[in-house]
Amino acid sequence: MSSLEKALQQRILIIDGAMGTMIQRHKLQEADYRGDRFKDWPKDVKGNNDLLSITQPEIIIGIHLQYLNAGADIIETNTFSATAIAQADYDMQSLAYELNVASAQCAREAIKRSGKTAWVAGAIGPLNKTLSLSPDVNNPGYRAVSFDEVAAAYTEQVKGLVDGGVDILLVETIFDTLNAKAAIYAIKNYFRKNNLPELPIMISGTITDASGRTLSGQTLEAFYTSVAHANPLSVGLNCALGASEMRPHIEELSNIASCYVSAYPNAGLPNAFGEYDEQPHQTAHIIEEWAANGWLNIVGGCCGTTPDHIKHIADEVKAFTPRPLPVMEEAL
Amino acid sequence: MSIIKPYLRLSGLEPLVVRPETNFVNVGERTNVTGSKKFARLIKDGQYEEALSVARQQVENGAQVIDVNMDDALLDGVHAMTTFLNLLQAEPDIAKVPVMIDSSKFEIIEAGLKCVQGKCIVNSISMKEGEAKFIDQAFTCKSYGAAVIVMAFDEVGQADTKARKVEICHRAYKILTEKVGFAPQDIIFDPNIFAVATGIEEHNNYAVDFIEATREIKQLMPLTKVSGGVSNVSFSFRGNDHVREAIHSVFLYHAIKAGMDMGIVNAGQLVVYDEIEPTLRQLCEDVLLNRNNDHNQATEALISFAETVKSKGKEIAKDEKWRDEPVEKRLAHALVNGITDHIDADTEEARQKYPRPLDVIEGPLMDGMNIVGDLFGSGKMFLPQVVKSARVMKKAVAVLTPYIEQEKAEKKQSGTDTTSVEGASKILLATVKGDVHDIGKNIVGVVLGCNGYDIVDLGVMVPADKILDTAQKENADIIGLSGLITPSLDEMVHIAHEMKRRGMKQPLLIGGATTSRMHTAVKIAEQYDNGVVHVLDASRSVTVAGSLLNKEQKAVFLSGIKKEYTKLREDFGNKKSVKQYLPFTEAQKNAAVIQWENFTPVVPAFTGTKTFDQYPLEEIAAYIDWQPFFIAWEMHGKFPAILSDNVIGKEATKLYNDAKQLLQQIIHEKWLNARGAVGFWPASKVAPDTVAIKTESSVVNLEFLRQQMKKAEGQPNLSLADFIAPSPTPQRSSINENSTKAPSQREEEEKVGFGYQTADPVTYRLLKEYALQHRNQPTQAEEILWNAVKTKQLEGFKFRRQHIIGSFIADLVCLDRNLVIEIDGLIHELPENKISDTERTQWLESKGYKVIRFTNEEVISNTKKVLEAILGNLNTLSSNKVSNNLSSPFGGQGADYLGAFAVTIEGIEPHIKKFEAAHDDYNKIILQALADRLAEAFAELLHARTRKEFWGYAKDEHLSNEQLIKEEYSGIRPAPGYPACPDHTEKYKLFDLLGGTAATGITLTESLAMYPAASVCGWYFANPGSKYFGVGKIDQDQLQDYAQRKGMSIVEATKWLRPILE
Repeated sequence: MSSLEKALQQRILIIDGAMGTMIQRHKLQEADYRGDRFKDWPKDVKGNNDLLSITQPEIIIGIHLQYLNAGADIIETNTFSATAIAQADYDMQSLAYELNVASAQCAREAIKRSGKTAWVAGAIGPLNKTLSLSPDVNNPGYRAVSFDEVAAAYTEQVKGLVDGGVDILLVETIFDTLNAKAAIYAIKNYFRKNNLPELPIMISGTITDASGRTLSGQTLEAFYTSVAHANPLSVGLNCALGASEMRPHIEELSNIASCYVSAYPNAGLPNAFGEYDEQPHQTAHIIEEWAANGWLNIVGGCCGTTPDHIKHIADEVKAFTPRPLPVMEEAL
Repeated sequence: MSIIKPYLRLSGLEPLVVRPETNFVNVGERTNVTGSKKFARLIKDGQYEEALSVARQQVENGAQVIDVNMDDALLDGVHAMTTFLNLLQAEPDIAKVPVMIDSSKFEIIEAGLKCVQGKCIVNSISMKEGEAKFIDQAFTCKSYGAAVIVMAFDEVGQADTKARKVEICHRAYKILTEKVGFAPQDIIFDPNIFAVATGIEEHNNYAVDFIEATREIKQLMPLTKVSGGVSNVSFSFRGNDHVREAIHSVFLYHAIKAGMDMGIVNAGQLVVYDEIEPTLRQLCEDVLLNRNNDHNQATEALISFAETVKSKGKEIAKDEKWRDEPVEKRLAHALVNGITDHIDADTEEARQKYPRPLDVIEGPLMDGMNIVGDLFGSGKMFLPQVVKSARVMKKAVAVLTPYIEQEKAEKKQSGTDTTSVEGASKILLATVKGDVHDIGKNIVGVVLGCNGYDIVDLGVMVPADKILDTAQKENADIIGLSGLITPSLDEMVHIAHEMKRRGMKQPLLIGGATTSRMHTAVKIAEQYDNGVVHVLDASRSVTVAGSLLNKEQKAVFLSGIKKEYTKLREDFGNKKSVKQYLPFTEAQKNAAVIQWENFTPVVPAFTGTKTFDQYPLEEIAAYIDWQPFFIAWEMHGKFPAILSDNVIGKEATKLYNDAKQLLQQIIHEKWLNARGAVGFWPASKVAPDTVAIKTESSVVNLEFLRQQMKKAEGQPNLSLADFIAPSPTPQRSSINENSTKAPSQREEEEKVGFGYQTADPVTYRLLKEYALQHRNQPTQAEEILWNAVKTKQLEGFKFRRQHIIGSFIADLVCLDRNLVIEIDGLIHELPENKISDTERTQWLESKGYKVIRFTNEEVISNTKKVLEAILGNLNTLSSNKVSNNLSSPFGGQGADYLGAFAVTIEGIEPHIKKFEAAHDDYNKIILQALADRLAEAFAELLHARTRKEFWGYAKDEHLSNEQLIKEEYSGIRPAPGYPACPDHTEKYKLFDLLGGTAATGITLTESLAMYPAASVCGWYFANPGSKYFGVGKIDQDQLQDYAQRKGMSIVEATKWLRPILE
């Protein structure tokens, strides 16, 4: 058994909080994003947060360190958009592999400097193009991207993350299950074709509305059924909802999942200015109850959460034992 | 800790879980260009929007999965599949179901897999182009997360006989599970359905081959599923849909019984098996089952019959003076007397007379129901009559509904419907998650329905979320929960808790056999503030609902209930401190005293299990105890005195006659199937509350609970374990003892001692074939060792060769010393074989065998050394013959036994559906109650046979049915979950011992309810001192001891034992 699995059996692990929120605090300008290397890049790159792993690695390492000091056991690489498809917005398709390697190295470096035991989760984001939905309302059969293109983009990302030294692959913020299936397909085939031992996979979907469905229309159980073949280390939910809205879904998931359960909600719902104002103790208070109910194995934060949120969450769940894995019956 | 079962799980936008109780999954067949001309034309013309409506129709008609096939020479299959599936994803009402991607070209399948987010089924892959390609395609399917259909097709061709079907499927299974890593439940076999009645005699057995292959596949590989294209079977009758539908339905009836899980059918065109004309059904059965079919006689008979089929009706005339009255009076008469004969015509007449259809309901029909309600309220009508009235009402409303809908639609269109009509109060009913019993809930539904409430009945096994979501969505005024088994109590507490969390306002009603006012007051009412009321029976439900929905009365009523419950809680709290418990160890010391030295247990006629299928219902019916039947109808009184009771005698007699008539029909038309299993095993009390059972392959410890209340002087603290003899004292000489025993017992011990038989007859048969083959073709090394045995070079030790142990074949085994010798050829050196060798050794060692291995080369070139090694082992191992009697708790003087049984009444669902469709709650509830009675009667019958015959400890017993009902027999049959052994989880052991679902036909829900609901199980104790008792409440020390014995956490044990904990 890996050290990660051992730790999961013993306690609720803490995953870090938002990267974007923390980057915002640095109030970086176009020139900061470009650094020296891309000073003549033909397109604006401000907002390409993943690029900072190359141009401002100290900032990224610094954020990772803050989360580690707040108590995070798992930190996510700064690679939410580090695929050829998502980087096309900045004409930086060709950098996809390098972004992943650099980001993974930033996370590794942060752990090294912290002197703590922690794991790096390679973040695989949902893409800005989706496989189940048509962007053209008049042509519901149209798709802006093909399964093969998505799988190829993810394969490149997986290779970069693995080469950069991640411990876990985290397919996250899934709002279209078919995109996630392409990611799983890419991961499985990458390891199989290269004859490498598989890294553990974490799956984290996103429920976007009160009806409890994903953006692509699946119920939570249907979503879980559709990705179960990844044989994931954990399955969970993140983003879109604050903890209080996420509660019933986490309860359901903890009932049906045969693997570990993760949750990293936003800091509440955004206010009229798109800012999150749920305070650390508020988020942590809601999550404490989940832990007390025995629903959780991995918990942390998504949009709007800060190291302070993570610290509060870590303090609140410390007292509780993790959700035990369900018994898998062998007979009907 | 939750438990996850290995079900096949599929998904579209919504999940589809194929559970044992799912029965049959309809796969829609019309979105298939090879099967539907219309669909093919639409696709070829590029009319995809239209083509989607074909899919929608399938789903609306009940298809749970849709099969999509684009295999046509004139089509670009990849393009058509991609376009259609992409469009389909945008239609939530279709995309909610899983897709079966159907093609003979794998590139089309893969194209389809790239379009669907849900978990699909691939239809199909096979080994026809060899193993390598099969493996490759299976890997691809797996990486898209799809389940696969494997066709019974190999390099040689498509399997037509049963043997070939099973052999190919099993081979594919091994490859998929061992080389590709497929989960067994994600494998679906299609063992090929071919046309029968083609005129070619070789084809006559095709349906039988499929059905029998299905049976064997499901036994051999129980987690897999079986599917098939049903319409193939009737291909010879194309053009005659009437006959085809009958054939399909008869075929499915038998194939589903054999284990078929899903099939590609036209969901809109299936007739109910029981509604096929008997002659046609008989002929279909002959053809499909290949009976009376020498020289195609059955085929000929069906063909000639097919041409003459015409529908027939029948009429019954009755004396009907009331028919001359005006329509309002006639409707009232029909309602009060429960007569359905003319209700359709009368309702129609009223509809024409009144301005609006709704007026008929609100006028004459409600007037009639008010009379019914008054009569019921004043005790002049009884529940069975009320239910009959409800049947009339439902039928009348069904006549009016289309007109009401039409009127609504018209109003909407003309924009005049600005005011929303104030509807009837809505009451939502459900049997909670994990529980399958619903007679009581159905009765409550009917009675409330009669009183003008709108009933939303969610059925059985309903999860909390669904209940509460529906209640909120439908804006229910009251929620009613029902449950029969004890774990349901916890679920009700959970629901109340959730209602509070969701901030719901509706009052909550609690009912069902296991519920009580006390439990409701102490546990449930605490959780929820807006009203929790325990309702004792259906008649009370009316007044309770009335009070709760009346604005003035509600507050008064609830505060009254609240006061009452608070008092109950206080009383309960006070009582608690008064109760005195013995320390558990003291209670154990005060066990029942049975003089074992004076008792010689009777040896059962057989050990192991015996199963019954299609047990004659008329024999069972003779054992029915009618009293509970009347109690189900809320008619309390002794049977048969109740039939002549002054007040309810007349109605009781009517009900009795109706029930007996239905019972006769059930028996004659074989509506229901009585299945059961009994088993007996050597048993021994190995600890104060633990009984060890020895089966052929293992020892199972049954754990019992003991009364712990302080008893009066001289009264024992009972535990069922007290009724089983303790481990016998060691015997010095086994030989002497053996000679004094009855032959049957000696035989028994030998079987038990070696544990070499396998529980699974199918595997055993297959293994036996392999074993025989190997025995006839020994390898050189095997030959050498066998010669050594024969020529007594192994000191005369007895060996068996190619001997089956569990699901393995041992090359050589010395049963007396439990020594297995394996001779490994080259084949074992492949990595996969190395793994399975290790597993096999581990398994054998777990069963007490020692395994030693030699290679062929060692045996051939170094025989002497090998023989020495074997002898060395033999001499260090102790003999079973001696050890069995010295150290084993089984056998020996005073060896005791314990039995178990489970019975069930299957096949109720189609008849329930039929009655529901006819709005006939009266017969539906009679049927459910009869099924329960038959299950109990069957249990009684088997217990009698057990006492007289199977176990035979009371061979001379002669008891009347009344005496049986009064339990005047010797020995008991307590059920896990009931007072003498209140832990439901011991049912797992009971069913395992009996051979599980396959043997008993019963599945257990997560709360350990048995499904079908009409099921009974229990243990058999034969000791004359054994008697029924209730364990009562237990204390923490026993809980801890019990949890430890069961290997449960305290939390889990607390969960299951909560009803008996303080």
